[in-house]
Amino acid sequence: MQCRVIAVLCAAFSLFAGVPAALAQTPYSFGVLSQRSAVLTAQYWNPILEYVAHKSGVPLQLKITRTAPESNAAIARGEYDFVYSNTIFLPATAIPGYQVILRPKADTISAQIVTLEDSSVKKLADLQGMVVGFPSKAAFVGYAVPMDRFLRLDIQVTPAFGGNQEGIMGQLKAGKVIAAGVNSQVMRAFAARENLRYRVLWESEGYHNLPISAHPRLPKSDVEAVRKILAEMDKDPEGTRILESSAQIIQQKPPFGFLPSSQHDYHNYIDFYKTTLVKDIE
Amino acid sequence: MRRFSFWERLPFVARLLMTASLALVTAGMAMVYTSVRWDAREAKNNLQAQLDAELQTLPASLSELLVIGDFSTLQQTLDNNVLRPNIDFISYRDTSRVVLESHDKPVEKLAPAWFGALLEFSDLSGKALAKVGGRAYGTLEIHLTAQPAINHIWTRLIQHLSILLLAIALDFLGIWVVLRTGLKPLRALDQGARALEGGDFSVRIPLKGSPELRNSIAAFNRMAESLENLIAEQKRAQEELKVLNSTLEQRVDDEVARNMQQERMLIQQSRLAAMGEMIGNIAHQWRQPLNALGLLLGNIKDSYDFGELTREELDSQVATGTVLVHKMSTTIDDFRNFFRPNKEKVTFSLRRSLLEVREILHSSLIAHNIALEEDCPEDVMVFGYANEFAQALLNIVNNAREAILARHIENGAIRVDIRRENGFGVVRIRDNGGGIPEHILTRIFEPYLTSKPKGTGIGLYMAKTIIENNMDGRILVCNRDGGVEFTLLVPLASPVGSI
Repeated sequence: MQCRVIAVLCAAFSLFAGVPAALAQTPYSFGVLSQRSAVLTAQYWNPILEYVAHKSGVPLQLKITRTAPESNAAIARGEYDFVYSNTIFLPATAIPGYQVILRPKADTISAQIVTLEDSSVKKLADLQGMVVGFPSKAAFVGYAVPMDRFLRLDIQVTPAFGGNQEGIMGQLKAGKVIAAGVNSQVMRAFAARENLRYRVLWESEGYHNLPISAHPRLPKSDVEAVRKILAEMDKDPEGTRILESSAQIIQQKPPFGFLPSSQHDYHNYIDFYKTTLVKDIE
Repeated sequence: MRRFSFWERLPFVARLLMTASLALVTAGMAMVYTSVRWDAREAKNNLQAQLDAELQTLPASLSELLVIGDFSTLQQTLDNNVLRPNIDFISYRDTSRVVLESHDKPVEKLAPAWFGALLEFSDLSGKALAKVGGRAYGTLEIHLTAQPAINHIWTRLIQHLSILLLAIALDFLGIWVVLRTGLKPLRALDQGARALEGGDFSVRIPLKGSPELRNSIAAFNRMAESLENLIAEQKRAQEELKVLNSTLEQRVDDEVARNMQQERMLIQQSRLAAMGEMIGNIAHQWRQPLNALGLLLGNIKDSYDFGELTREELDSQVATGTVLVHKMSTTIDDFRNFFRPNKEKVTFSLRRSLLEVREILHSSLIAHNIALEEDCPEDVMVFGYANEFAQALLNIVNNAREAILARHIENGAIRVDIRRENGFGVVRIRDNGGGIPEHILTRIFEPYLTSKPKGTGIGLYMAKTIIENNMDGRILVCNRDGGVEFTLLVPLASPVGSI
């Protein structure tokens, strides 16, 4: 009885304390494709999501899986309310019908097949029959695009997976794999942070970096509120500071922030999935 | 009676053991206390440092699981972490109130509860907010138990106390053994001292033990040897004394007999001397009547030769001669009475004694022109032997006369004062004969001591014997005004029995 009274009093207090009513509601889950360690991902995204929640009144809670396939599986099950991933275009994950609402301001990303600078591998053909590392079977530019390239060149490689982008980059640095398929931007940031010198054996066309999408079940007002705050974040000094601070964690280069976007901006993803020779994309 | 304190009643071994043990226990307990306090402080610091480190590192190590929300793995991780030393409980409370807990099995308590309380050492716990990217995922609480540290300190304490106990035991044993063996010579010394006390002076103790004890034993042996020699010497002396004692009586008898013989000789000598004196004085007394008698006989012859001798003339001359002879006879009687010793003490007049002396010496003093002056304001009656006293007085006056003659003193004078002083009749005889040398004066009454060429050395000795031994008086002598002064003190007489 006493606990109930205290709960009522607390609720009443929170109402009169001026806290946005939305904050009191259950937060929307914000799934992020597992590209880096969960901690780095959280360090990057939590300040941004806190900012958005504070500004928009829409509470967001970061959701990360250990591996990209787990992320894709969650996406396929429609568990996330918002998702930062380019795997929503996979046929298997397209079912929930996530809709692109924002894309990064940053340059497009591309798939790269890289090796260490002092490696004996000089061209893709040199990798014939070798073990090549990839983040996971769910990684679009990290696995699907470069593997599609190996298959089209009829270069047989044995894939080895590192769990996420930086996971396989770590293996490359350690010499456990001779070459790896990576996201060009993640690779550049990793090499800068780890002081690693590498050589690009092949690079794909440019793809817009991972979009932020919203589940169709969300109220449009909340989605719009989130999109608006994120799109205007780099124009707000506080938002700029948070973006810069987060970028510094993963050695991300400017420009920072997001632009409003739609499914159309990501048609090459959709086209790729329609024509790819890789059949085991997760 | 002095009461000995407990400490004073303790034997040396007990004192040493008690002192050493007390010192060891005190130092040991101080060391143990310091060690325990230091261990406790270190353990507290270490536990606090561990807690700080755990609160700093554990949330970071768990952050990936927290971010992912993998509570299953998080639980496993907590279960693994709780197995680490000193951690007995970890809990994680999510912001959505999900609670994960992990407990380690309780640590066995080796130390009693009071020990931990004494050390003021209790469990530590702390909370840390698990934040990643500014977002709080939950609160991590870590509880560290102090029990292993308390157990460790307790075990060390027991070990230290055991070592201390061992040290005390070894200390006891060591001291006991050392003293037991080291004091053995001391016991021998004690037995030796008892033997000495019992009269066994032949006891000697072998030189054993520490240098100090050997020195003491050597000193004891020297002392025993000295005592033995001394006792032997004493025994010899006692033997000699015994022998001496056995012959002493005979020797004393011999000595007494010799002294009596000597005394008799002295008396004899004294009598002879007195007799000589008497004869000399009789000669002096007789000189005048003998001359007169000679002249008388010459007159009778001349009268006869000239035919003038008549019967009347003859009778007159015979009568005169008879008077002279009678006078000479009287003189002999006087001298004989004077020198006759009294049989018993009587009361007598000092003036009369002086008169008798004057009578005897009169002729001699006149012949040598020596004045005998008398100052006697009153007659003084004393009690004693009158003739002996008169002889002593005669001896002293005669000595004065001889001293005056020997030194050829003109106007020689002998003055005699008679007084009554302090219960004594006092006679002072003073002359102007030049006195007596000081070295002789102190021995003047010794027998055979004389400064006169024909003296016997008996007179003053007899005078002292008569006055002091026989009459309980005193005789004193000193030099005064160029002469000698003798003072004779004789007890005053009671009024009865005077002569």
